[in-house]
Amino acid sequence: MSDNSGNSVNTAPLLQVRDLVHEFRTDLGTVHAVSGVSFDVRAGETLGIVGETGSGKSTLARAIVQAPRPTSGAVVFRGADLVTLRGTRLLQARRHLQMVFQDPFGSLDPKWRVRDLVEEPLVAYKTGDRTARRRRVGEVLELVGLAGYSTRRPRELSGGQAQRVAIARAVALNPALIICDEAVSSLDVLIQAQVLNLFERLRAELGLSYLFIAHDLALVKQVSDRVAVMYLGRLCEVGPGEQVYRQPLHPYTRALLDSVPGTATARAAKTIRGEPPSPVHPPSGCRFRTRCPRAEPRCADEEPAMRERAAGHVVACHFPLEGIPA
Amino acid sequence: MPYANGGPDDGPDDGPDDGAEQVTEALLDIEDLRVTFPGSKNREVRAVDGLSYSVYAGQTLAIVGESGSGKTVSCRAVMGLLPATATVTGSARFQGIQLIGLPEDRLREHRGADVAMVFQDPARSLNPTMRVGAQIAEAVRVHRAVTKAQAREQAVDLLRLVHMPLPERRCAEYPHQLSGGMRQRVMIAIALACRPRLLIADEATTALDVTTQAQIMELLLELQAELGMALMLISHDLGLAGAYADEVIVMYAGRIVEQAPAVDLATRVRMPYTQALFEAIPRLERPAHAPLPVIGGRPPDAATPLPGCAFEPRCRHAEDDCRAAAPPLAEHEPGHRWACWHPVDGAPDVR
Repeated sequence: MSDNSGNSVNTAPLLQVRDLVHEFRTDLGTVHAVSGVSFDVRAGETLGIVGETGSGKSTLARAIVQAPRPTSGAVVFRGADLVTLRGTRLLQARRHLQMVFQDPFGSLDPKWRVRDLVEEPLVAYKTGDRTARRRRVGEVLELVGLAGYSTRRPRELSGGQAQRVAIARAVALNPALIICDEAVSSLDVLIQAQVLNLFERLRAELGLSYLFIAHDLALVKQVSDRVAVMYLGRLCEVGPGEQVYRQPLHPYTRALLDSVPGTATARAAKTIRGEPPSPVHPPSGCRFRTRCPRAEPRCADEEPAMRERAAGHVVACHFPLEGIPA
Repeated sequence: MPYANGGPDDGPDDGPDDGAEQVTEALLDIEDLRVTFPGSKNREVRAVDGLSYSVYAGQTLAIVGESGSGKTVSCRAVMGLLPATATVTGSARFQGIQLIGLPEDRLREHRGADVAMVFQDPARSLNPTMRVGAQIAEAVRVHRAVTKAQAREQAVDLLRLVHMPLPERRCAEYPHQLSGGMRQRVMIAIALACRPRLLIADEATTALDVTTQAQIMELLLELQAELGMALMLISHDLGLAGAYADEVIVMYAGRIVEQAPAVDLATRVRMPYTQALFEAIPRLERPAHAPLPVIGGRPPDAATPLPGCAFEPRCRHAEDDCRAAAPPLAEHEPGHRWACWHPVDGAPDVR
């Protein structure tokens, strides 16, 4: 484990993603799912990624864990570039990088009992003997609040309990970083709150970091230290959560915030127009320009670079909101 | 009128005029609706346990509850869409006509024509092998004596009505070629094909992105105003319900536990369950990492009803009388009904 100094400036980030590109061929043409994404996740930090369907956020998550491998770019996790690693070295590096997905039942073999499901990653990494593994299974089930459930099978669990099993599996190997891809999105609100609180407790108790990916802005805000906003394969804006939500710099972030039901502006503001363009033919320059109220000719000609407009708050926009001098 | 392109055959049944004259008369009147399913060991599962409410023309009513609260089952019971194993009793009168116990062929006349439903998963409701234009045209022809060519024309008009970009071109496409938001627009177009008096949207925007959800909700409210429809939003999302509905019903374990105008519910919640729902929602105003106030436990087993309040085992305010008898749903304040012996007072703590 790297040290837990968290926000200390001279600590190397836990995860460094650089110029990550993921493209794949379909019969319609090449899909530009992730087009040059860069960010860091520091030790002990939760970075939230907000994006809508088709923004490439799930592809990004999978490209980070090299399943499948990205087209190009670097994914440096605890000092090793996963993109260059193969075989057992990749497997070992990935041991401390776990994922939790949206559909808990989809990732749990229905025939297995809870204790075997949680033991499986320990077996896969040949961790300890059977007694030690069973002890570890007991520990993590206790940790996620499922102590009495070890002999149940997935169909005997509720959605929230099944998601706890998925979390127990992810936690069993003592990871440094957990990538949550819409991990609570399919749960009822009370269950969702319980699982969110569990994520927070594990973070505090185990010193975990999260990359928390979701389409729900309030959800992401709840758990994140910093928030990145993704649109059509690129990041628009990254900054401290409180700041991004209070003073968004990118017009797309503003539009997202205005769409949240119940916010003062939601009903008054004009909802964002049109459909996102196809990732097969993304717009030139800024990818949001076709739906952006502030777009000018320059936005079509020139891709906006990420620029720091306030401390730790970067935006990729030629005409950012608020007009804070760079 | 949005049907300006629909031709002069619009008929007298469309438009808000006749609804406006009878504002006090409910479009749909539900009284003591009960739905049971056979459970294991000969016990019956009470999915809906004595539900009464009314929906008026031009009104947006939201029914909010968790999975298994009975919100969807109650609507399907009204529509006659439950499996044969379900036992439905009580009354559901649509414009005076009793729907419960109506034979299937008579019900089918109302379904689509008077009451239409839009579901969560547009991908599963659409036929993947049929062009969307043909699917909408088919819905038009089920209830209206029009030629195929006229039905095709109306399909394009309906897509225009739901603000589908390039409606002529989209008609020739298959569902998989459309985005989730566009597929939901197609479903709404199909639901509107016969100009229903009541549109039931069952988690219709749950699977959609926040910007698409906002677009679809604005569209539904706009169509409701233009066509004079009543709109029922079935949702697990109290935030969505509060933002878009006139009135909100909260269901728990097959019963209504609170009902109020949306504005009152947000500021003067009474039932502890509603309060718990409000507090558990992550909100933009909350600081990051603040633990969400959340209640433990799960809803009771619908096959073994409790003698007292169904929420009592999970309720912070429960006392002995809550275990002894279930509190009746009563109008304690004008327009505000709740079922609780020890109601809470004031706004939910969302900070």
